[in-house]
Amino acid sequence: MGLFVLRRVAQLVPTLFVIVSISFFIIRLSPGSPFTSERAIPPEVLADLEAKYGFDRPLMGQYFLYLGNLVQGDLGMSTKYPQMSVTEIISLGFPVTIQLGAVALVWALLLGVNGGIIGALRQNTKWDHGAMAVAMVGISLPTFVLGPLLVLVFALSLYIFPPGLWGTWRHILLPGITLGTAYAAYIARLTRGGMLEVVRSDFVRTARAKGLGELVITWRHMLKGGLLPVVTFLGPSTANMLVGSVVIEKIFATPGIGPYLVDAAFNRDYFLVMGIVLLYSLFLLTMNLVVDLVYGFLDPRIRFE
Amino acid sequence: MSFRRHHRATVVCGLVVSIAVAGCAPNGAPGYFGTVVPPHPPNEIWINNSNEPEYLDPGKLSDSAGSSLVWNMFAGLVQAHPQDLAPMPDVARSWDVSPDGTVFTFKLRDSQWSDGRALTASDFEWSWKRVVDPATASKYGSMMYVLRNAAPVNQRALWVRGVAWETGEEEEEVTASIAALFEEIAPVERVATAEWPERGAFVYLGGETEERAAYRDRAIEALDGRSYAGGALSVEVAGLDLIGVRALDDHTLEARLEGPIPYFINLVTFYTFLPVPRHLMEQLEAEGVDTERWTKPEHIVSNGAYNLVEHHFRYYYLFEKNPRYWDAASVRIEKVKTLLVESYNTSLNLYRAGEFDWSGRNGSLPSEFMAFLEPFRDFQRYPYGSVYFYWINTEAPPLDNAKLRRALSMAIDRQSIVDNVAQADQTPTADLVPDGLGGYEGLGTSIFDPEGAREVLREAGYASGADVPSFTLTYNTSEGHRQIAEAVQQMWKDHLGVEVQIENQEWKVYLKNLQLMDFEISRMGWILDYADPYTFLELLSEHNGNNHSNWSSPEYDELLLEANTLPDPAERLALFRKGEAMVRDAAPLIPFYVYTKSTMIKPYLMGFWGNYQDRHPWKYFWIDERWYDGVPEQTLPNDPPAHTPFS
Repeated sequence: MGLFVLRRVAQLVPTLFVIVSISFFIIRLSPGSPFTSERAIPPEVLADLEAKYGFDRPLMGQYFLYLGNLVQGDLGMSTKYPQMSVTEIISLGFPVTIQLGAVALVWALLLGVNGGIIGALRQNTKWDHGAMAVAMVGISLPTFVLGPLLVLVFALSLYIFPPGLWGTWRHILLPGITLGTAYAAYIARLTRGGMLEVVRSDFVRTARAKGLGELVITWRHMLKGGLLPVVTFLGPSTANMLVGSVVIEKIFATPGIGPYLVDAAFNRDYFLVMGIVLLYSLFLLTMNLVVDLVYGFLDPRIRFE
Repeated sequence: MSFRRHHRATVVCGLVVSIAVAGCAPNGAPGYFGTVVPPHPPNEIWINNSNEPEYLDPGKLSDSAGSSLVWNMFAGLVQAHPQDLAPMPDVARSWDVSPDGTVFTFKLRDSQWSDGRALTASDFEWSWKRVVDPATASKYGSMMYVLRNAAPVNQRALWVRGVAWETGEEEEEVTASIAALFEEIAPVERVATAEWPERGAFVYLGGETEERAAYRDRAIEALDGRSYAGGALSVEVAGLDLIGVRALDDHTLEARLEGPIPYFINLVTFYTFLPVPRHLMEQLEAEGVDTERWTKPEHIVSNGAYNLVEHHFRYYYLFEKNPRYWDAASVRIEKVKTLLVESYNTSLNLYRAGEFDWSGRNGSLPSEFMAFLEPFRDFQRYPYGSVYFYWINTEAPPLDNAKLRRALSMAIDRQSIVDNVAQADQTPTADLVPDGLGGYEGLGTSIFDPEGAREVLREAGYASGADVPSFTLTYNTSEGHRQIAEAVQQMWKDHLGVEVQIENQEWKVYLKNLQLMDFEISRMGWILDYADPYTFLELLSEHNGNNHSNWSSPEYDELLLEANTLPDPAERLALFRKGEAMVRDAAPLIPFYVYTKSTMIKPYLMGFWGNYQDRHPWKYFWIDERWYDGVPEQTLPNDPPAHTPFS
């Protein structure tokens, strides 16, 4: 397994290289520059501004300069916020986003897995239909509707939670639940489907024949197989949850990195765009690796070779 | 200062507000939107600043989000009165103006930086010169062009001495002979003579920007020291010492202007003219710290009413009263937290829940709730010195026809746009300069004249609007701009029969096309930089980089120049009226309305007055503490401070 992980990690490097290279040139293709502004800037001043960030060099020169700096761990300076480095910006916002994502993930798993189990074990009963109906609503309800609804009820009508901002556990719940609910709904449906596939399988029948209790059978035997599709789904979606959400972080004004990529692209903040793309890619690739490893744990038929 | 209307994010949070407003918040009161009991520790207020500023460095700043903070962190020579913006002494106790109106001498009071170091006139001299220095790359360097020789220094012109000429000799002849001298070596864009600090000339080299440095070197190498007309030429890149500002002593600053610029004192209240701590930047440089980081809380030294003590990127800034501010005795709020909430709806939710004491000046209220919010007692609206208009590319057929442009302008029902689309009580105007600005009496052009428009269209050579070739109206992507563009499209069709396509573009793409003049009609807003009509009229002068109309007129330019040499304000404004009439007839742009600002501010927060420049110094804020115990029977008078004399 050690070799497998090593090989996968080694594969990350060329993948990231391709991602970085493609995004570097794509963002440069977009019209306008970081310094395009509605107020005219004298050409001499503009030239100095561009020289400061190396934008006066030929594009290929800039590309190799960026790669060189990247290898040394230097992600560059933001052009929109010149007193901040990209590393600083990410290191300030990322912990917030991770906390929010973690709450969302826990919520999604708690609600989704339990809902799915209930649905599978009580197949075609009112429990099943109820849980799946709720899941359907969860999937269909966009976060930009659910978020404001939660704010309306819990922040502006009942005054239990603040309508936004950050700092205490009370600030994290509403955005966490908003972010996690849609995922919970998917997880519930996937768990139910996965569980239904194993519920009549031989090893479950054997377990029953051995006289094991229903709880042990469900948790120790069925869930392991039933969760496989969920795990596949969780890889990219955990990455999605943990790297934040533009809409939720705007609605709740949480100071995470969710809105940064879109804003940076609008501002042509080249290095910030690159930094965040890099972070997202790294995160997604890592989560996919984790999923592959979890497969091996859940399904003994899978071997790392 | 131009700007775009922010219509970002936000979307459906609106739903919340619409339903939530039905009830009354705990700690609320009838007639008020949300809570009315001050929620934060005593003498602390929370304001929404909406956006993370690009800079907190006054010399480099160019956005509204930064200006709100910087104006409270630094004190300049002169401050604007918080209600009527009249100039009042700040660090300068008084000032004198030379009889010809071109030299201002400021007398500075004893004051300190927040680290205890004395603030002197040379701090101002250094700060102003730093803005002009092209190496600083300040986007607002051109604000300093009122200072003598600031423009050539900022544009790295060559400073040429030793070219003697007789007094009374025609300037054209002198500049032509200098240009001829340089053209042997490099392309010359233009030559301007100078009389101060000594007789000489500024040579602006042409060519591509990246080639200019080489041209400059070549010209200096070839011409510096060369004998000429009985003397020797001296050629160098125009240096900072040529700029018309100098400290005569620790307490006296002299500003030498390019002409008798009547709005100079008003301009000095702008943030670009605030002082920055030279000693701190030199210290950081010596320590090997990037001087760009001097505005970080761990380093910053300032001289205004508030010190920055904490910053969380894109979340908040925390400020504390600066005990070393010269007027600290009159500052009443101890702590100000400015949060950076971009969504208009979220901001309104936070205001309603009591987190924000004021919804701030950089965002807006959600337009869909404007009518709903208006009746609340904590809603405030005031005129704002900014005009919404459309640039017309006057070289793009069929819009190269002035009569057609004029007809298009006349066919817009501005009142209807304000009433049905913009919906914030804006003042519709068909003229560029807001009426009443700096004592200016506007032209009062009719804001809608469909009959007249059809007549002018016929004069333009079109029997009917259907004969006018189609053209495109471009706006930057935003719901508000789209609605206005659609209304205009319909009005031109209904009243003139003219067909126009409308197209939206992402902001940076839109700006790029604006600069390249790759458009036919394009939306813009312009915020006044100082309370004088010239801030709008100069937009249309030929060399103004912000003139995106391809229209210019030597007559118009001369008229503006002449107006600014007139000592009598009435005569000056009369010339401006003539200039504005030229603009109206040539119609290189179509004005729509003068903006208003709508904001929510808690009833207990006193010391807030609406004004044309939307400036609200926190030093005048205070909390009416009676609100801690419930809604008082009577509100206290909110009298603005007296106008401090220039003692």
